[in-house]
Amino acid sequence: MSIYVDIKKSLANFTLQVSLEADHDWVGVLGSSGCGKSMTLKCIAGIEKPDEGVIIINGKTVFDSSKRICLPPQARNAGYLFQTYALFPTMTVRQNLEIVLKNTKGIEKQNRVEQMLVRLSIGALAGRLPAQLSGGQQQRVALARILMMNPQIVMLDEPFSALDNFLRNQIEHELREILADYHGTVLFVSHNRDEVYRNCRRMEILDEGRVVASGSTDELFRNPGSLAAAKLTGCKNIAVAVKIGDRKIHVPSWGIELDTAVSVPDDLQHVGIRAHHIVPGEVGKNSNTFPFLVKPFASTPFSHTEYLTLDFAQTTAMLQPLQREISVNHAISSQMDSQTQYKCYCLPPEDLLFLR
Amino acid sequence: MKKITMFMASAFLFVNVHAATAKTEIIVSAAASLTDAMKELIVAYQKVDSSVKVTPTFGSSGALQKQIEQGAPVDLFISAAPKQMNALEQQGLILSNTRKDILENQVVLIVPKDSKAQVTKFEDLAGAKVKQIALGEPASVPVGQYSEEIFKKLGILDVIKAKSVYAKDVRQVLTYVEMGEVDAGIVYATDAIISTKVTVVATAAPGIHSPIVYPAAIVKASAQPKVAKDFLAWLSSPTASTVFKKYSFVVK
Amino acid sequence: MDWSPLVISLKTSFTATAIAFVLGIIAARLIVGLHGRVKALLDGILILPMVLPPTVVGFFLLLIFGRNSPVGKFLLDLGMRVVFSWEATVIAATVVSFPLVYRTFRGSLEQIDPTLVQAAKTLGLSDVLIFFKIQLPIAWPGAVAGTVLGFARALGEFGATLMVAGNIPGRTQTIPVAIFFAADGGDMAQAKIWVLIIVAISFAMVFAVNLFGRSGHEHLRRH
Repeated sequence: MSIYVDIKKSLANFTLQVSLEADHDWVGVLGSSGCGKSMTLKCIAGIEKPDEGVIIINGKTVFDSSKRICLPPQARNAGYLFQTYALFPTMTVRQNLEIVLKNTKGIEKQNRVEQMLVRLSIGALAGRLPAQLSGGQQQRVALARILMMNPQIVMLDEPFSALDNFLRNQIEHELREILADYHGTVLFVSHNRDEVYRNCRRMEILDEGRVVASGSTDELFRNPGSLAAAKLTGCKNIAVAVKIGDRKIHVPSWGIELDTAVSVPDDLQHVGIRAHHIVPGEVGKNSNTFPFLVKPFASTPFSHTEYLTLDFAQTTAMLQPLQREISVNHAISSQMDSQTQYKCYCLPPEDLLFLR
Repeated sequence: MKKITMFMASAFLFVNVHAATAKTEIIVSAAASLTDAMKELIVAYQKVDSSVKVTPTFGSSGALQKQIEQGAPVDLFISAAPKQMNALEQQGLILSNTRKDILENQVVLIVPKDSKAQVTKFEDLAGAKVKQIALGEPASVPVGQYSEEIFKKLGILDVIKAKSVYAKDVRQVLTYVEMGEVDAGIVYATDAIISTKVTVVATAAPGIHSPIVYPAAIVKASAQPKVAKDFLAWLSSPTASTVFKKYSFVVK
Repeated sequence: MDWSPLVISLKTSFTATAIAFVLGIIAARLIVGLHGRVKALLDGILILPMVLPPTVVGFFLLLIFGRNSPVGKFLLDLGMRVVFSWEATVIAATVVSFPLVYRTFRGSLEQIDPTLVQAAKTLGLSDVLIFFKIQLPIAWPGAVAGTVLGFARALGEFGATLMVAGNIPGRTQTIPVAIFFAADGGDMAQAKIWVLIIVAISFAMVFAVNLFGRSGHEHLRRH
């Protein structure tokens, strides 16, 4: 285990209770703002102190409340990339790197700094001050600074939140390249599920201070398991569901009954279906197909969203609309127009998510 | 119309009645050495004329002289030396015909009560055992002037200057000696007598300095010259004289 | 004309400001690391000389260094007489200028982005290194501003100085004391000369610091 965390900390709105472990891998920590993900990183780094628990980094116990061990941040060797990068403003890039090697002298120090500057392609920036660097350049310097100390673990706190969309991809790519040589655990904190999905093979989902889902990223996206996890992984259609048969459920707020591909668990509370899984269908030919009243909602350059509600002729109750999303190619080929119309859509049984 | 007249008449009466029963106030600027004596005299004067409120203000004669020159609302000025009164008279700021010398004083050499410097006469101040002496600032404090005259006469002025700390009035000199931060100081006999923390070791012989006379006069700009004159006249009365003598002043 | 008040004032002010600078910076760093009631209490004590009337400060100094106090007696035994010495002018000036250096610098320290210190800690930098290499350079303008204020205060110190150092021409008579006694003794011309000199010194100082301050920190401005 390169990192083992089991901590508890009382915060203003809830109690943070996180238990996670990782082994030399990129682990995503996904959660909405204020759910305690940054606080978890800070506890690992030693900047904040949990009320109780244990933190072990690469076999070294840095925190253990029962044994009254609490190493200062300086002794933990945990690299932390702050959202604002925290470069020292009165020092040049070179000085920012040099200061990490406070115990090294002369030639060796110069060499190591030069190597790092070359490795991260920031040699040309060596004499500049942080205020003279762009966001991406600052991130590279901040990472260089962290790597200078040969960290036992690297923690990225929402590394792309402050960046423009265009830069985001580029810098994400750069980050992966830079850290390709780093073989320790990388904890990647974000509220953006796409980033976590792209970069992390394993992930933890945090909601209100607790880990509500943990495991392989692929698996969690396919099968979130809980309401919170489903929401955080971007499922837009979630509703209360009741088991009415081994492979049948009733969803009151959508006004429909659905067939499922596998046996329905007894503790089923909600059902979910991802917006892009709803496809056109034919009543009678495909299961779970219904005539919906379609209201086009929003178009971005690359996707089209529709709201689907059951035909009012068949029911008088107030229903929650389903959201359907299609990428722009399909929109063109299906000849969408802005008028309300009736269409039959299918909720494929194999795409239904059982949620607790 | 009638109502307004009634209102104004009663307001007028009220103000006048109030004014009639208010006390007349006079301000007396007196040299610092007169502090204790003057306070006791003012209390005594209350019994003589209770319609008058005498407000004293104390300081070095030089400082008080300047205040009057700058227009301070003083009615009666009592200086510890003729110099300051002369300056005011030259500028026409006092009523010359009211000027009179009311007191005399003596200059003494004092040391802290627990002093080990073995000072017994003025000449001893030049000796090595005396490291620091408190004197009044000669330019503004009369007792400082007299001290300088003494040292000049004894020919030790330069030696003394090197060891002197100058106070802004005679009471400050006294305080410095009481505190023990200086080895000796020169004050008036009247100051030494009120302190229990100092010992008088010598009195300046007559003739070694100019006579220490306290002139008093009414300030020309006084708003209450008659009241001030009455008070000044009373300062020469037997009752007042007893108080002055109690504080070791010599009454003229 | 006797120029000793100028010499004494400059010697005293520079010495006092230098001491206040060192003490002020150290105190600010120490206090910033504290919390809650202890912090509030200590801070209150340290800025007290700034809010008390100078004569009250002088009174306390007399109490501490006077012949009758334990500290005073101890020093006298060592042959050091504080009251009415030149050193007393430095003590009085230091005590009143210290709070200005301390408070201004502390304000600058507290405005530093806390993540900078946190980052420095995670990178393994000791608290001492963080202070000298990161916090001090960033908060330097505050240190300079506080020191200038402190110097001006030290130069103009009168009440406490008079009480504990007295008026001894050539030894403790600083310019403000000279002005007071010149005016008191009626020598307005002399008083005016000293007033002009003090105004000239103070203005020159503030002007020089403004000039230096502006160009010194252009590089910290964001684009």
